[in-house]
Amino acid sequence: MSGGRRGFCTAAIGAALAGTTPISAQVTATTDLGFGAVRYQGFLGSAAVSVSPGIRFDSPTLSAAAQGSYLVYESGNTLIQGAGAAAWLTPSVRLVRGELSGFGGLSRYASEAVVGYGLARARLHAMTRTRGLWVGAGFGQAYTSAVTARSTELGLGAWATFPGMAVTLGATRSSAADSAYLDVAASFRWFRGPVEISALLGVRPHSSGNDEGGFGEILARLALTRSVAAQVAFGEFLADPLRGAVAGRYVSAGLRITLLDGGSSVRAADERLRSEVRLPFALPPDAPELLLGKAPIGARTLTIRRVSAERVEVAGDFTDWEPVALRRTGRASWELPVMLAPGVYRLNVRIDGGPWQVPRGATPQQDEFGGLVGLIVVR
Amino acid sequence: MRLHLLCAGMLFVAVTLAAGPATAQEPRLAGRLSPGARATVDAVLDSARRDGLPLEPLVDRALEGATKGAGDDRIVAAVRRLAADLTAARDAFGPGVADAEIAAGASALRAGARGEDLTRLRTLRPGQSVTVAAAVLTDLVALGVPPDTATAAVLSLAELADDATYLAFRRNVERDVALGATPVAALTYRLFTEGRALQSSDEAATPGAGPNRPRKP
Repeated sequence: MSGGRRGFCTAAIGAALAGTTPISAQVTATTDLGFGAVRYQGFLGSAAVSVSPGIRFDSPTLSAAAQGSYLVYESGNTLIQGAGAAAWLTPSVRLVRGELSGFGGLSRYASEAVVGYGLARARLHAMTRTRGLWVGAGFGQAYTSAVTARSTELGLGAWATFPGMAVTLGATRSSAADSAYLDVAASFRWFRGPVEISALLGVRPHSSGNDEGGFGEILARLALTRSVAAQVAFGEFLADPLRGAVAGRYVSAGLRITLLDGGSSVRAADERLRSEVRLPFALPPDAPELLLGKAPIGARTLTIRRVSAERVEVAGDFTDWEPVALRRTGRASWELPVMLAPGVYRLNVRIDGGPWQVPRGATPQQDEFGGLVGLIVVR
Repeated sequence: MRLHLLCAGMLFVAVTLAAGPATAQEPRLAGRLSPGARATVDAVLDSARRDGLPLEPLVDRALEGATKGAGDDRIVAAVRRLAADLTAARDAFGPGVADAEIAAGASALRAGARGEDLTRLRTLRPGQSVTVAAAVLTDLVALGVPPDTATAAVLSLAELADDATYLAFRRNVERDVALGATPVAALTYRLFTEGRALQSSDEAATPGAGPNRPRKP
């Protein structure tokens, strides 16, 4: 198994070069965080988590994209991948444009295998603003830890765009080392409001030295905010000797975080993300912090920190819900010794006689009296 | 005179019998609840005592409502609801369960766990307390994990995890969520890392996997 993980990181490099051409140059940077299950041919199924940063540049004639991914399997093994692609479109002569492109990548699985590949490609397009046909050819090199092989690619295809939708159909014959195969595939992208759905369906009707059969992948993405989108994907893919990928299937879910959008500005993604985490009961950023430490003879020390106040009180199951004042032990630190047997306790704290609130360190939960109560577990 | 005394005695007995068994009063409620609310809560406590339910959580809930200035109706409703949850948790866990376990189970039920989940949890942890496991389930739901998912996670750890592992698991999920992960993603990731660690230590104790079996990637 080497480098085989297509689709798990959801933004495919190839897709970076497809789609509409922007009016002006723009840069987009994203990071995908994903979790899923994958089963490669010849392996047991495994859970995996991934982080996949990517960046993409688009201008009317030049597009470039790069993506990395770091994947950790259930076994603890890791897969590190990096890939890049670039394409240049010539000025159009009537309806015809030429395209020169190239892509390459490198992946390393655990300490077992390193796979690299690169391919240069030329295509001829006959296109209007909304539809087009292309034919093309490419050649390159693929290598693994053991072998180096020349690879070639011949293809033709068609594409069309409609309001909120893009469709492509293509056939590609690829060869690398002793493998040669023909893939016929259709892809579909649909946008409406915050929802995007992409699908790829294909068949490999002929192959020498490799698998034949169908393959397909579907991805659904829902924009939660301008910079955060949730996405789920699943699919089955065949072996790809050109990229050193084995066959497999996967299902994944995760987040796409847009760090840079259209070249405008880098967003304070971290802060935004923290504020947009869908906690059912988010605590205010200035909520006091609760710590529960062990004290002699089975007692506990309940500490409230990060509080600038004259008086801090706690009320909870262990005080019969009578407010008890904590003792100041530092500039912003307050303590109370308590006896707590193992179990679950509810509590609130009050600063300078204000409203009862839940400190950080306790799990906020709706009480039955119109507010929140904090839960702590004592072992 | 003796007749008068006899009549008075019979009258006392009759009045006492007509009034039914006296309701014990929980002293901590005195001065914290209105007389009406206190009488109702005392009645709930009496019933719970007869059913063998833990009383402390019920008293605490009433006192919490009083401290937070809730109205009588709300306090009584909260206590009754908790009594029902405690009953359901006790029934789900079965006999011989500790008060703390019942209380934690009631919280888990309120969070969305089902009775059969609690039954299974106890079955998977014979001879071990389920207090922390049930509390962690409640916490996970409070963190935003859907109840079904939280329940499945807690049950999947039940056979191998001790209380410390459960608490570390919950703490890690909370930390990941605070750092920006979705609750489900955080839980799933931590579940597989904790699960893997537990499984490894378990396998280390019972080695012997065949060399030709397919392995995980």
